[in-house]
Amino acid sequence: MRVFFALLKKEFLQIVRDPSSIIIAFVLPLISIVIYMYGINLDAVKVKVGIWNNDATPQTRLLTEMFNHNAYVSSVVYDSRQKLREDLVHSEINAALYIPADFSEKLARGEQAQVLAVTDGAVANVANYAQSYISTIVQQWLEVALGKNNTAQPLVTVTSRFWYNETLNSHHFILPGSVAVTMTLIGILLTALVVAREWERGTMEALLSTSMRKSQFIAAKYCAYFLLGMVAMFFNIWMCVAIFDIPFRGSYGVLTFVSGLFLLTALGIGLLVSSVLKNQFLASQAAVGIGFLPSLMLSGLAFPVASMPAFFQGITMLLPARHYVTFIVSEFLTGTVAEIVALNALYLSVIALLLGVAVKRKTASRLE
Amino acid sequence: MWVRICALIKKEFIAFWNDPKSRIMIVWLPIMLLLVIGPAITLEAKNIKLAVWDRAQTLESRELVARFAASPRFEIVRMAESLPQLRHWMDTQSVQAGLLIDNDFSDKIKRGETAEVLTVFDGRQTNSAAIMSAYVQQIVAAYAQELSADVYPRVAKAAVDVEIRNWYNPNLEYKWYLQTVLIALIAMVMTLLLTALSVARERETGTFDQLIVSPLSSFEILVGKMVPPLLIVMALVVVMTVIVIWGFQVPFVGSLWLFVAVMPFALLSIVGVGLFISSVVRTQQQAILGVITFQLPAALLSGFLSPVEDMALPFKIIGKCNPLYYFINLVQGIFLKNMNWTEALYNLWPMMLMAVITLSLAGWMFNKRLD
Repeated sequence: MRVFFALLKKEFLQIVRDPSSIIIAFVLPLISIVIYMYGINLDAVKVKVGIWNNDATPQTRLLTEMFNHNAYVSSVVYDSRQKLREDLVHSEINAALYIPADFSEKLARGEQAQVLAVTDGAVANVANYAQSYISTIVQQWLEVALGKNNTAQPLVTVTSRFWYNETLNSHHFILPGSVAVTMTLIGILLTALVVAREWERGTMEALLSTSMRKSQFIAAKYCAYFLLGMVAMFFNIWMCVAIFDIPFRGSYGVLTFVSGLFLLTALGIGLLVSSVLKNQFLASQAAVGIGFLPSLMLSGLAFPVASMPAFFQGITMLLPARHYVTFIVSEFLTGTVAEIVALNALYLSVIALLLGVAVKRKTASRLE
Repeated sequence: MWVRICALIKKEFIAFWNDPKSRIMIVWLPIMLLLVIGPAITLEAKNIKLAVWDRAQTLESRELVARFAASPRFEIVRMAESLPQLRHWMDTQSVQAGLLIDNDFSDKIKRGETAEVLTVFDGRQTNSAAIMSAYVQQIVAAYAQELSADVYPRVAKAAVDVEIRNWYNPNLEYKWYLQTVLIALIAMVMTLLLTALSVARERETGTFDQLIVSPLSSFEILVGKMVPPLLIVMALVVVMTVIVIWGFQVPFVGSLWLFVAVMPFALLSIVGVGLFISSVVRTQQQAILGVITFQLPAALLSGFLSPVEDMALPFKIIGKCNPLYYFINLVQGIFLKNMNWTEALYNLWPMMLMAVITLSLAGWMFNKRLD
């Protein structure tokens, strides 16, 4: 035990003396949460529509007007068809609407009039929004222009309600979810370099010549960075709740427990990378490669896991961030749901345990 | 001078290439990332698990339910019998959506009134909830239209048909967009890793002092440190592009020559950022911290998650000073939109400017360290 505490003390001294781990633990969550809050918005996308109106009547003028009455749509009327096309190609506008010369005439005769909408499909998600905004606005205009009685009243309508996040505010989902990405990065970064550094500087050899046991060495590393990581985690969660007002309906005890498990997995990945590669240069490459993109793209934060092909859904099961995103979003917005907590805690413990065993096996106890 | 630079470039290549673990990292890490992330991500909602609570149990209500069952997007997994039951399923994420049809559904339709059905969604998955709701609207609207046609066959309907064409990506395959973005993202991550750590590593092992006392000028050191990562990432971009074209079947409609010609200049801006980070830090840990502090905002604010135009002003400015924003524009523009030379230059000049600034700063910092 004395050896363990001596090692622990050494780790803490290293943390305190090198400001970069403190910066990782506090500045990184701050930067990323501000970006997620103010830089990312998945609610509804704003769309810019260019309109070419070849049928200048009061009715079509009302239609082009209506494209400016929506918070998510702005429009520009073009005189030249050529210019409209160019701006669409250059992504100055997201969609173009062409109103043909016979538009009002056809409507007056009670025929079906046509308009053409062209979107910039290269940015597929924005094009999707553009499509539906244009159709909706044209429909709204039709009701106004022709009077409600002339358009058929639908016999069935549907109302949508969103449980747990009634206003469908995407920040309620992104901010808690982002803790998973940030903490994966922090956990891996904190530990990825530490064992490799010992090898590179030769202090590992010094340690190996003492009476220290392998498990004590590993436990001291886990412990020191676990404490630092938990502080960073609380800081991150505190910012979500206290500064950005994300509703928290769960239990802090459960949150701490599962977050601790999750942190252990991230630290485990870092330590494993570090002890396998024994080289800071490679360890940091691996840490950034493994830590950032997969946890952002495959955890369910940016893209829904349920829509992925089955094989790739299987791969995401290996990703601690995926289980943690599911858990933390649910803990925040729904509250403690026993099934969700138990299942994800189980996955995380299994991953943490496997990583711990791998770290122990890969930590060389003697010089090669 | 060129002899010295060539010697340095050769030395850098050997440093990257001689260690088998380093080779694996340079070649397989980016390819693995592309292969695992590329085919997985999509914003569409598929296989939506739906629970139905049909209190009407009539011909019309069953017909509506059948529409959902027939849709490839929905999968009716359970029939609910009460609201708490549905709530419990939603809580535990056994279902993602619920469809509630009231007792008087058919009566209202027969009386010619509007019958309202209620759908509830799991708001925890905010992005797919909105998309699911749009799908429900479509299905219900289509059903309502058919009913109206049955009920009032002769009501004259003035209507506008909005014909929609999506250029460059007719079926709006979101994957085409993301897979081209992924090339740019991975290229950025690799460039930063190869450049930002290289000087820090030499500093830690003491070989940077040897470089400084050698006859190499700081400009020569800069070129020597710049060229090998540039060539390695260029090769990676080509391999990733081949995978995206043949593996993921994304059509490359632009000019391959233009793509290859602009790539080194585009990458140079990111090489510049990496070398600048490298020139100011002392340890590899600080270097990796620099990489993350640059890369996190660069990736998140590049516009692939939400458009730069929608961001609050300070973030919009950061977004427009972000080399990755232009890099994504270029890759995606040439790939999907057949961007021509002048449009490419329009995206290239901000990157060139960034390259000049960051590389001069890095060179200046090397110089300063020489004193």
